[in-house]
Amino acid sequence: MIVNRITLLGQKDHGKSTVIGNLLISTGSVTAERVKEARKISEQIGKPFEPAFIMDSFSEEREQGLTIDTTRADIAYNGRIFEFIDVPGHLELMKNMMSGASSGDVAVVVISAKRGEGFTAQTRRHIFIASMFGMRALIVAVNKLDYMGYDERKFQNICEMVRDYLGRIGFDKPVEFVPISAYSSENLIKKSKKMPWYDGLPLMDTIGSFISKYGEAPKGKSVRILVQSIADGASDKVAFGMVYSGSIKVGEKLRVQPAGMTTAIKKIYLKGLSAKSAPAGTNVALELADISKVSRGSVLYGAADKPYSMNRFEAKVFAIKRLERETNGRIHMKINNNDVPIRALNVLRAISPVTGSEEKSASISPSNSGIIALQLKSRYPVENFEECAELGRFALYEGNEFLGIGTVR
Amino acid sequence: MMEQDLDKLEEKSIFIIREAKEKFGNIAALWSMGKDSTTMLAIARKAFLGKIPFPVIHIDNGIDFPESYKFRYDLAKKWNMDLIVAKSEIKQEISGFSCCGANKTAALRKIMDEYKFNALIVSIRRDEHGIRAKERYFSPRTKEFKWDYKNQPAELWNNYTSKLDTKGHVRIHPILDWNEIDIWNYIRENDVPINPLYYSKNGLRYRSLGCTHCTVALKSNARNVDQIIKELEVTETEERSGRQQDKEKEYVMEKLRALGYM
Repeated sequence: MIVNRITLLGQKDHGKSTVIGNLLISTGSVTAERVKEARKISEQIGKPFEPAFIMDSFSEEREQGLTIDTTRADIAYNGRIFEFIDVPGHLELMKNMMSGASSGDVAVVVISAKRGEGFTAQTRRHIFIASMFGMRALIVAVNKLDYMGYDERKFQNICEMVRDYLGRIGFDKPVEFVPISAYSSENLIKKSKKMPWYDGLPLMDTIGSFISKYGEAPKGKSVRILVQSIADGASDKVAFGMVYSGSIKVGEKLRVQPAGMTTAIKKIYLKGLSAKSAPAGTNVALELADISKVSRGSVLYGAADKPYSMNRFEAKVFAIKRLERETNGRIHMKINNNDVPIRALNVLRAISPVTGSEEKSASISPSNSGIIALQLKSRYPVENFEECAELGRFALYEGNEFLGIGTVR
Repeated sequence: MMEQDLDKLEEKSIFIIREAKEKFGNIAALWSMGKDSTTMLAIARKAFLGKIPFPVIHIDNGIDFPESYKFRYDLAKKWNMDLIVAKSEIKQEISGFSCCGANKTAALRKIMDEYKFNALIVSIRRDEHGIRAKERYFSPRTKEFKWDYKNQPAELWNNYTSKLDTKGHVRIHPILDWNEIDIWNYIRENDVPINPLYYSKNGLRYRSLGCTHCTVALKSNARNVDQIIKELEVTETEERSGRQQDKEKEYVMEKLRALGYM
């Protein structure tokens, strides 16, 4: 069965964990024992039953009422599995949020319509980052409408603000809006009778329909194999690697990057057994006609493909630490778990993830975005993020310090 | 019980195990002889063309079930494992926090020090316990085995941490995404040899294996893998409900994990 991944976005206290807690209970995706445990904890700390406690399993989280780290929950609904990835909402936990946002393609943002909450800067940053990293569709769950008398105008106000914002940051992918009350389970699974003015699907069915339409990332046809290591095989040396896209067969010619030479596939091993071909998404062991220039971090391309290896390119980044011109040789990018040294980083423009405004700038402050130019110490195979996500996204580091994330333009 | 795509799970596990082997030269795997760590070893054999390319550690407190010892002997031989048996002492406390915490962890520390392992493959799964849902695939531990879960390294896509406190080690979790039912489906599809304690005898079977002192058998008539899978499809009980350590106190798993327990 295919697991459908959904990233949850939004400010803390706007109700993400309550949405998931109630979905887990009402779909029967969590055992009675776990619900009992959450009930017991609610009693112990003298609160009414809080479904969020099913998600927030650390004691600190329960006490402080926030999700510290990425949490996953599997929900079975209509014969499918939906894996919800819940990420923390605090600004100082942005680093962890990006760990969460990095693996979900369809996102649900929970925005509270309650007075004083609304469409916050933090929620905007979440949406911005998710859109930078390949979010293909967005569902906006407008929550806490029970506090606002299930008033359609309050719902529409939030929708307006979100539409305006998405236009500013250039997010042109499908968007749907669903009015809910997570705490009272209104419009989560069953259509709410309290909001007769809403003629769309409840949240879970909206998610299901979005996943059917936009859930599966289109796989490229061009061959891209990331080499993890070289090892001794049965008779010859083999390259262990992951086929990111395309499919390969014995005899096929490949171009090795960054080395630039071509070679051919002699043998393919799939799951330990000899095979004639291998599709995208599989880990292979390859015997090659010439393996001498192949090493960890090499990328094998179809021989007919243009060479992608380069040492200068532009990238869109989201900064964790302040970014400005850097030529000290101490920074590197981490891509496919390889550290690639950077000779020079130059900031070209700054982009506000809150308003979407863009301006010429020599620096990017923390929690903001921008465009940078990178020069590597030596050539490395990177690609436009839109063409091959795996070879077009990276993290920036200075030593062990995490500076930000980027996508190749 | 949530079933997932076994091919995808297996591919991700292979990628992680290969990555860990390449990144950390001196790596070992923990093997409890239970279904999860045995499945992980079966995957490792596929990843490395039939060989398990790292030592396999069993922490032996001397009070495991006799069936487990026979299973260990047979499979270690069949799969040609480089097996390290870490003897742990049993002190007066007989179960839970003090036993698993102090005794098993102490034995593991001794072995880690002796062999200077810088990475350890541990076959935990996210669905076992709420705390485990917070884990990373690559998770650093200090020399004292402490897990700083509030300050975990970012794990963006397949950029796992290589940051390592020189005296600590990194825990590798290749089957973190698997659910209990996936493990059994995989065992069925791949004929993975399995500890006989999982099968029902006299109306009882073990669903999760600890040692003789802290594991309780559950009522079950499942005598083979097919019947276990059928049983799991309808069960309402938690997998670790036969494990006393999980229940002793509030947040005991959290404490055990912060202390370095698996």
